[in-house]
Amino acid sequence: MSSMPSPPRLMVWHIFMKDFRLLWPLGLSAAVCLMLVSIINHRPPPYVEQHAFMQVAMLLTLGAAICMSLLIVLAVQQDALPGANQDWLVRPIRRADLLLAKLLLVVLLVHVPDVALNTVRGLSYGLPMGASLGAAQLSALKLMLVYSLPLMTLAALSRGVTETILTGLALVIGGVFARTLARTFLSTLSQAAHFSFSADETGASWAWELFTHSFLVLLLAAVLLRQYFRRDTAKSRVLLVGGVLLAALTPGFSWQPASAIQQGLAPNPGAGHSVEIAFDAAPGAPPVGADGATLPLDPQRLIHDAEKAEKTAGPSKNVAALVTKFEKDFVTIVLPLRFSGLPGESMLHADRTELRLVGTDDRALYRARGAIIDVQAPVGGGAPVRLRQSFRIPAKVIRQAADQPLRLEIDYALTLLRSHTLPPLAALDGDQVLPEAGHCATHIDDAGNAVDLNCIAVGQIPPCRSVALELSSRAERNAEVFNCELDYEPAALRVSVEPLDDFTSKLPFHDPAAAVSDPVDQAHLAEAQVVIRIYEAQDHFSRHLTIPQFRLRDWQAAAPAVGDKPQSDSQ
Amino acid sequence: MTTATMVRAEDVWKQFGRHGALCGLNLAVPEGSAYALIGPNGAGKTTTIKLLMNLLSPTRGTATVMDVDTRRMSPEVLAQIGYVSESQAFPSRMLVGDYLDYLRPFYPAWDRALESSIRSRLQLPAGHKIGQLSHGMRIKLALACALPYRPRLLILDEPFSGLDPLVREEFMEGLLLESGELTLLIASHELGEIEHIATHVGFIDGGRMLVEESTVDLNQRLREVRVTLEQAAVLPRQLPAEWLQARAYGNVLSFVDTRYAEAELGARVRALFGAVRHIDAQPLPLRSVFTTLARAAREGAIR
Repeated sequence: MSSMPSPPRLMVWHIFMKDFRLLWPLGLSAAVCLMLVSIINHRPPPYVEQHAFMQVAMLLTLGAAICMSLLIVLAVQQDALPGANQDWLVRPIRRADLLLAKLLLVVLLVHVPDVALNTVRGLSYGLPMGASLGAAQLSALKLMLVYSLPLMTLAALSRGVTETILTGLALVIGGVFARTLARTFLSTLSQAAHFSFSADETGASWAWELFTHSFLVLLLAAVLLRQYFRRDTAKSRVLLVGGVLLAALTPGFSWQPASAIQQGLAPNPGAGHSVEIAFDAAPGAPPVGADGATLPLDPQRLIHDAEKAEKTAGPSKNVAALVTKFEKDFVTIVLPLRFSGLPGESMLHADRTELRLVGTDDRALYRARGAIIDVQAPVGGGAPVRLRQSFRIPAKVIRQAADQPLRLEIDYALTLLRSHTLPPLAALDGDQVLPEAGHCATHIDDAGNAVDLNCIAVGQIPPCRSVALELSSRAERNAEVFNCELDYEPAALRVSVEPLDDFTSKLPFHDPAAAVSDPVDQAHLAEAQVVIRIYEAQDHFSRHLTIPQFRLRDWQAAAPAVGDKPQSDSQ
Repeated sequence: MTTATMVRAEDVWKQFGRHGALCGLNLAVPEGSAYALIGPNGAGKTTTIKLLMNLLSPTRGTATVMDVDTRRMSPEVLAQIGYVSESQAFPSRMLVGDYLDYLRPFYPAWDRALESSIRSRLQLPAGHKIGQLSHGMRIKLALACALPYRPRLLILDEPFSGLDPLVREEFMEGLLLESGELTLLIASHELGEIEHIATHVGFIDGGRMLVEESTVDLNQRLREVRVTLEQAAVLPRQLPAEWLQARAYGNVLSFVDTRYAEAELGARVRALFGAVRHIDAQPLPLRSVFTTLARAAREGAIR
């Protein structure tokens, strides 16, 4: 048989241009919508969030999302993969060229305008070009992985836009349902055992999220490639649904592997080697500090999941009823503890506390999780910090063993966070670009009682920071206002689809009801500075505490006193 | 001298759920032939063609085109195949002219002069959206997209549905000739249109190839026989198996002889019916070949 000349090797641009001629209006519409949203949401100094035209901005965002989704789905379905009638299937078109052309179209019509727009947004806040462009590119990459890739895969498995939407909805609803089912099952098990093995709601939960997201991205990429190169729609659909269900039904890492990953990734291993925890009282001794005051109980969490705290704020009737039932079924025991060896400018966070009550026969009577605590090192470090930590023991265990001699063992999983201070900012009308925090500005709030700090940055602002009003001339400062979230994810992996991040902090300087005024009050505002401290996890480690002679009755709490500050010996 | 085989299928099976569309199909299309794939509705013609174009994968068995497994056909092979089907789906939002412009660079052998000639003969409106074309115009578009690169193999699946008689005639007599040396595989119920060009016939039913032969051989052995007897014809209970559709009207006996041999026929008829006044044996038109084979298949006379 005679040989024929080969078709041209690279037809990516040719295929791209065919799709571009048909779909550019959708790309343009999306870009215009996003541009208008950016204009509406732009914050002039002092970078306070804008509420005017918010609904218009939301509608435009929805419009942009619809245009982008349609563009991505139609781009793929111009040369649809399922079915046996499409003309392109009998043409000498390389599948690799076709896939690359579709990717090129999505990148050039969806993501390049997005990068350009976000770079301009960063520049409009006076942030550097390199950082703005870098953050915009990273967020576009993430958007591509979490938005464009799933849409392309769904489009490659369906015959039309409606089928794509229905398949997507079915997958999302099925995934959420399976996830809820798995979590409910695990939660029921944990409640029955009065114990949790999960790493959820700890700073290490990011590892499972990253693992799941990576798995889903790989799954989507594999299904997309399989569909383009094997064109086996039925099996590809089964693969996708199976993978999504597997990810949804797997509840997450248990604590041990999550903790091991975290320890392996510690930025400064050994930083917490000097930290020690000791039982701080003899049985029967009153839980008081050196000044005779009662030691604080489970000091208020400085590091917290802000979103969760907001959701659970204000106990409902149901919650109150549950608390009453809980108090009836459980008895709180309180242990006075001494934390020593904390370096200066540091904070110790107990990610997990596991208590075991062991009888004289070496048999574990009961085990429980303790309250999560944050221990802030005293100024200058060195001095130990004393506090009380509470544990809830079922009433029936107390009834059985209240007076028995027991051995108490506690395992702590700890994280040491060190802080560093950013350059100070004038408390009155400050306006400065700060490393890590971005462009920050200060102004007096409308009530005239507090300084409002607003920062806007490209990339992600570190998730744990404190802000305080300070008088450098007198080395005095008001109480730090913490704004921390549990997240030990390495900074390089903290990428959001929104390239701009912001935070707001209210720093009170005048409380008319307070008997004693703060060191920095209205009179000192002109010379005061706002100091931002960034707390970063340095080391993750564990400590074991054994109390060989322990009687439950001696440490039963009389009444809870939540919210006190921890007491250091130097105070 | 052996002729190279352009298309071959060996023991090909295709299941759609529990329904077997093809059940051990064998097929061989010699290079340079015009192969008419005929069979009743649902026989498996379109499934066969879709398998040959790698639009479907066989459940079992192998099919090759130009000695390449259809599941592994490269762009180089596809660039030598023209395909026209009544169910072909084109990008509906594109204009006719834009689509031809799009396809052109994929085919190194694309002949723009031939394309122009075909377009003008078919009167294809370049500025019309493909989605707005009638069924007939879409078939014309499929033809215009399949011929300008002078394919070595042209596969046509019901290409005449919706085409007016003039275009059919022009297509069969003119366009195919202009397309140069090619092997043609055509599945159609318009047997009159393909009769003059078919060099080979494959009769398929129930997903199996029941008869596959060159038209020369078929005409040699398949004859419509009309016998005028000296006395009234009475059909015996047992007729030779190769005689199909036997009928008797007065002293006239007619049947289709599927193993026609001029020298033996007279003696066999005389042995069964007595004295013979006249025997006339005519080759069957393709339409009659189809109806004969279809009836025989339905009655289980051929397997």
